[in-house]
Amino acid sequence: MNSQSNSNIELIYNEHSKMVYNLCLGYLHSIEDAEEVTQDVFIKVYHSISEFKNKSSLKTWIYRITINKCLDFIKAKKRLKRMSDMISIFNSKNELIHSGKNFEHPGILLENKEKSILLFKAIELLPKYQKTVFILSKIEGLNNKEIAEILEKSISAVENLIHRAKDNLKISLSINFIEYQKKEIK
Amino acid sequence: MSKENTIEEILESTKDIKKVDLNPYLFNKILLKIKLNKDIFLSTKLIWLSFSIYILLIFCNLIIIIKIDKISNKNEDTTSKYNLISYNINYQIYY
Repeated sequence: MNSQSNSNIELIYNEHSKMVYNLCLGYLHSIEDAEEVTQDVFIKVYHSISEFKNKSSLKTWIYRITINKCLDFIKAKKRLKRMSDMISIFNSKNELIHSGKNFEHPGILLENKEKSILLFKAIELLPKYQKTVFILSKIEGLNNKEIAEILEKSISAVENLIHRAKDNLKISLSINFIEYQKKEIK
Repeated sequence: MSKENTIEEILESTKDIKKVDLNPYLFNKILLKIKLNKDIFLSTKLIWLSFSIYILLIFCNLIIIIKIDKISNKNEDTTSKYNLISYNINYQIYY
């Protein structure tokens, strides 16, 4: 590892690490997993920086890598969970792999904690593109044009995805509404 | 509070979300992983080299086997001709 590439990656890390980590956190709902994927993202950036063409901005390129890494991580975790479920049929002493069921995002305001737990649970159930678009729009605060550039889609397609994501979230939240009311009464 | 209002509030619960700071040692971990990956990359190079040598050896062996087979086939041809000739000479029926 030479000092030139070392300082390059340090510059990129200082500029974009917070964005990458927060996006991972929004996707994975676990601090440990977000740290792991953030590391993978910057390793990928280090190895592929020579392949980066100035067709899009560096930020957009890093966003794309982060989204792909998060989706790969979720897929791998689901595969691992399926395998552990298979093993649990034969072995009753199996431990649960997935831990982040009730995820409390560290950046959420205290008065919104309970509500955001429900929201993150509902986000987990969304299809891949709707989930990505909702996280980029509502958690990362990107506008539709920026999202369209990252996902290489039209702005109208992004608007449509946000609309469908909201509809699906409303449906799944209305199912969990009774559970939320019970907690409010307590 | 109506159900619709509550759901809207839940959907807006991420509105004033703050960006979370990272673990300060994360960059060192990344540098370490990059270094380790490079070491692993070298060893994969060696694996590919040994694999290609192995394939080359198999290829050479195949060529030698095919050549030997051709030579033995030629020899078989000549011996069978010889046998036929000798048979004709010795056991031909004359009328």
